[in-house]
Amino acid sequence: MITPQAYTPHGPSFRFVDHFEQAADGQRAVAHFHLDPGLWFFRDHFPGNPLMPAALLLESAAQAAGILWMSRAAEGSEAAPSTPLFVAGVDAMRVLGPAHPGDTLRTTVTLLKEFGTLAQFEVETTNAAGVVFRSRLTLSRQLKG
Amino acid sequence: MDPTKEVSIELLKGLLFENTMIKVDPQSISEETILFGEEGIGLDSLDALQMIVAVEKRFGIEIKDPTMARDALQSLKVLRDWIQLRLLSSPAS
Repeated sequence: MITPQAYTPHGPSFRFVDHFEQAADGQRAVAHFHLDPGLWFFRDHFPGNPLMPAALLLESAAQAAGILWMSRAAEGSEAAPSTPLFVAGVDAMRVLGPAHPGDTLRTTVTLLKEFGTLAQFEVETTNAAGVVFRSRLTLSRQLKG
Repeated sequence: MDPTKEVSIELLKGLLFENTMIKVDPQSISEETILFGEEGIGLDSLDALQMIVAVEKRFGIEIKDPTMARDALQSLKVLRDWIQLRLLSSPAS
């Protein structure tokens, strides 16, 4: 089990991964995030009808992809890599259902291609009702690719 | 060579427009148009990654090395010749 905090630079209110498990092949991982009803964004998105914003579903999936990439980079070393990662591209994004307070999101992330300072991932997020989010994400080790 | 993997400039141009953020008229792209960098039509490293993933998926060729990719993606003609060479030398083809 990987500690997400060790592989994300985000502060606690902007960290959307609670637990992270990497598959033995190092190419895939599963991240979990519990949607505590007290989370800051539910109050205004939307008043009386709280839903996790699509942008944060994307952010949660991107953090899971980032943890996978960072943990691969850290293999064989004692310290986590300090290079920050950035979202460089989003393709084929689909929001397929709502994520409500109390849900636990399960994001499966698969590394498709690692290429210099870029890496592309396939991500799929589910809750108890089924798939809520799917996309192909590209992360970069630098702000300009 | 597997006939389903025939390589044409039109096919590669299609992959280019489907998988990159290219913003020029398709008619203006010839087989010798330089694709990347300031001398070319301005595609960047993210576009290169998208093209590489598309080529790998379409032709079953793995492109591991960024230097190799830079060489292969100079123009559609260079890319076609590069893919054909690998398909012909591949035992599975």
